[in-house]
Amino acid sequence: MSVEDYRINAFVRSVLVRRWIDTSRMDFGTSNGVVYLKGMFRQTYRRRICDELEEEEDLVRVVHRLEKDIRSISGVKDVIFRLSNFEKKSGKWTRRVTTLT
Amino acid sequence: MDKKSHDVDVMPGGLRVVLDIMNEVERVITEELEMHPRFPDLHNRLGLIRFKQGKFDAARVCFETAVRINRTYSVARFNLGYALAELGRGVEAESLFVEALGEDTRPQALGALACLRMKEKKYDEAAAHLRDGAAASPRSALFPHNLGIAYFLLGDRDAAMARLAEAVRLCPPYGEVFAEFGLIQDGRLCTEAFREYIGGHEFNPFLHELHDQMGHAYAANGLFAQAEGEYRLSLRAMPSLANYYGNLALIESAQDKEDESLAHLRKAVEAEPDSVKACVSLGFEYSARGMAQEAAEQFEAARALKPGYPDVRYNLSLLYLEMGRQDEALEELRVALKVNPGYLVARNSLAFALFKKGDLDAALDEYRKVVAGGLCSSDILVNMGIILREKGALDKAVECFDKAVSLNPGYAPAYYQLGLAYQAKGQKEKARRAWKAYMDRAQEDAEMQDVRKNMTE
Repeated sequence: MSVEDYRINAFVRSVLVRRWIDTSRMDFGTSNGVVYLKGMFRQTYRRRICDELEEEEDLVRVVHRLEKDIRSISGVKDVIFRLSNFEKKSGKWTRRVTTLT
Repeated sequence: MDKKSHDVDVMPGGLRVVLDIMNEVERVITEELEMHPRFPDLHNRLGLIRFKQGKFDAARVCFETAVRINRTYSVARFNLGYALAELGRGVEAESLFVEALGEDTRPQALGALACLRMKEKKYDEAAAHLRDGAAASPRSALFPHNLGIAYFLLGDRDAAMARLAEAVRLCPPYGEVFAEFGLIQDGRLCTEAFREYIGGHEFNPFLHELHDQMGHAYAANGLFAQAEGEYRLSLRAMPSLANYYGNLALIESAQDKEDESLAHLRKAVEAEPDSVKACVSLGFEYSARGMAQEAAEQFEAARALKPGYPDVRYNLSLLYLEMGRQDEALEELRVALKVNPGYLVARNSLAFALFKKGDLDAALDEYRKVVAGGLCSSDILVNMGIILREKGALDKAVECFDKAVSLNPGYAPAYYQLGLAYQAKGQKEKARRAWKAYMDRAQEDAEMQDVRKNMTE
């Protein structure tokens, strides 16, 4: 293998656990230095803020920081997010809007 | 009602909020219940909150819902029994606990029956159940601990002391808890201190889960001392050393104390080698440190305990690939996918392992399933393109490389491979342009030297 995928994967897990991200709702894996995260982004416990809107923004910041942290892991070539509830549009993370049918 | 609140800094020099930790745990469970109303463990967890709040009838309703969804959910059945006991419906509680005696939950059932007898002040009978429990589960510190209480209430302090010493032997952190309460002074049991200790003791051991959750909520807010306090309460309710040390590792890690975290994880596995969670956590810690052999041993232990856990198989496969044990890695990935065919990150690793092994048809087949499942990357497309080029399907190969470039314009290998495909098609100018794009993006390495050579030819 060109990079230590097992090691990158352990770092990714550590990043997720430290941010209290529910790993039971998200599959993550590493192949050839590319990290994949698929599923629902959900932070079980988080820093409480009294303003709901601010709290929503804070959650977006967490996703942004998560991406930054994973990209900074040595050996990571790319990070692919397939999140059911967040998406990146024009370089900005936003909550995915689901329409009721 | 047991309400715990703490001031929490929100912004530097800014606002502060009062954090009600029980409310915080309830918020998390309620949010989850809205998404998954049929998850019995969520009803069970909500029931524990109601139980802790002293709302035993509301707790009963939650536990009953959990049991209705899953008749064999033993923890919820025990909790239902504990709630019924609090509501004065001891006969119904007893019937639930007696039912559990014949199953693999015999020790917990004996502990629960002992709790009923304690409530009835029948300490002799409680002690008999606890002695049976200790015989059925000799490694558990819960039985000697509760026996210590029963003997104390029977007035036999020497026996109580001996049992508490046994509890400390089996679960050393109990010693710290006892010291904190001043239970033993000058080698003798301090009556007043022990009465106070018993007054605050939770006889429902399953409340440990609620304390764990409250500890996590504190830790997420940076309140590590309070988190540790909750983890200690969790240990008092259910003396699982693996759980306790695992929780301590979490808060050490959150404070960037990696060595301390590793030490706790080692203690967790040492204390309970049959804890899958502890083995996996230590396996990841070793992996992060590049200790592949040690990590593989932990994941192998976890695999032996829970052969059906796909995550364990997946991470073990990554280790085997690193160790050059390719066939074993492929086997682990295939087992993981048999258990969970939708585990796309594992399927992607299987495709890559097959690709590296040279089994190109099988690799392409797996890659196609990955992409059809909704997972794609420039790396996947490049590997698919290489396989197609090897098979002579040059147009399809170019299509893959083009897609790889449009997906991630900064991904240099896609341009390199695109150039090779154009070269194979005899389109030299297009090949040069692709390699030029590659050289603008790639770092100097052997591959780049090849490209330079190709461009001059």
